[in-house]
Amino acid sequence: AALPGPAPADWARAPLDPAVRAVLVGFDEHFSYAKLCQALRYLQRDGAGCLLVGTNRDNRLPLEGGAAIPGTGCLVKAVETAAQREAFIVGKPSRYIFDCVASEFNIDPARTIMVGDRLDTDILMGNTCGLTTLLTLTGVSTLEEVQGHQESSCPSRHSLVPDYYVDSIADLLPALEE
Amino acid sequence: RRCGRAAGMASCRRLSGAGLREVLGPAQGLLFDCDGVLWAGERAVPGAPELLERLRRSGKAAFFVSNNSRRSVAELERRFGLLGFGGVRAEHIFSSALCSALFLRQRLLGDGGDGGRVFVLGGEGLRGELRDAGLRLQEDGAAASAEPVRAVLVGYDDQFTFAKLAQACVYLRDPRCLLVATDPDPWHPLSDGRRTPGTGSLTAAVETASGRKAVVVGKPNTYMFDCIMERFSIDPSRTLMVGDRLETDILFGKNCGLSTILTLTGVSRLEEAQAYMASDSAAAKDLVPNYYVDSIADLIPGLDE
Repeated sequence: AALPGPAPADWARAPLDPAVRAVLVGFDEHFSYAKLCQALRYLQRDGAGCLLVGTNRDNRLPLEGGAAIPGTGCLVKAVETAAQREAFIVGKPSRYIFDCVASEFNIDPARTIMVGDRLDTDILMGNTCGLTTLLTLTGVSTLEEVQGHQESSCPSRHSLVPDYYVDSIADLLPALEE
Repeated sequence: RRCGRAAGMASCRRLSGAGLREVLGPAQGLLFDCDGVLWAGERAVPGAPELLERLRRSGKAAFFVSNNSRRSVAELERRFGLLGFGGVRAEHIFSSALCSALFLRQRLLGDGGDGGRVFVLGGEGLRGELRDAGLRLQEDGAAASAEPVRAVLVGYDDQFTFAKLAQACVYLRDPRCLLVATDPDPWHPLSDGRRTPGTGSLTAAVETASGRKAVVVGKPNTYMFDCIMERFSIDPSRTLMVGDRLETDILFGKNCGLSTILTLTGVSRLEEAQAYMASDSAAAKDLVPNYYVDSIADLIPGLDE
């Protein structure tokens, strides 16, 4: 569905596309108030009849040198707040994305390892889906964070603790050598 | 922190007849929210200008407390005039734009502050209030100046973009940089019943990206009441708060120790107030108004002729 003209008055008045049945929020470096407005109009028009779906909740995407850009999670939160409703999240740590893989391929969680760098997406999903979880330290999460979750008295934080960790996935090679 | 009225849950009683005189009689002043209370869209609520006139004649003070960060106080003062409200003085008008400027002036330029610019996500009305308070702004896309950015202010910004969100996050990497929001409102009603996203939705994006929690200047937080008390001496136990939004106006009244009146010409429905009253949660009970009226014009019979 197309965006109307540039001014706030345009957004409020332009007719809505009658065929729209879902608002999908993904990574959008052209996100704007106008788009947020339009999303809210569709969600308000149809209430429960219009789906609100987010691809993922990652709050930031790291760049080299410690900088980061805002992640899709920020845009999802903006829409959820304006619409006062919760999005269905497809990506990790939701089990939906794992179910997609498992339904295509014969996967036995007990004999499958999830390898990731983020505790709150990769490891959480792996633990939730009954996989063995392996944290690699070449990305976002640190061992200090793991320790924090381990020592926490809050039981839900224990789901963020991986079964194993490696400094890098290259460390797995020796186990696979002839 | 504040001495308020006697403890006990508010019971959302319709204010009418003898009750009106009992409640309005002893009141020295009333705080009014604006949108949905005094006017709806481009029209004054019928009877609202007369109510303000009658308050003035009764010797009761009227102050205006608005979370709307689009308008400067000067613009709001003009709006009062255009919509038929005579004699409302600028010094009685407190917008979240003004109070955000006062807050930032205190924190950045006051005792212990070491200056710094403000990066604003918001329009000209908000920017003007900040400049009038003596603050220096970091303009979007301008080259970095020698003076560091010491605050990111999120307001109503209909030109909000991903790029500005990313820029705000760069400034917020410095823990000395404050994150402030003018108000928490998630959406605002348009005159045709549709909704437009509010500052709250933009603040949620900035908080999520930066991992920081914003200091919110507007209702239901009490800073705006502090601003009023700085200029005028007000006895909370003799002051009423009149608003249309339970989660901001009524909670604000409760937080400041004021008795509260919900008017039904705006956002919140009576059923919502009743649902909060029936709820088991203590937080929900704080959103229940002491009284309600269909419109603030219903308050007129409670005032002396």
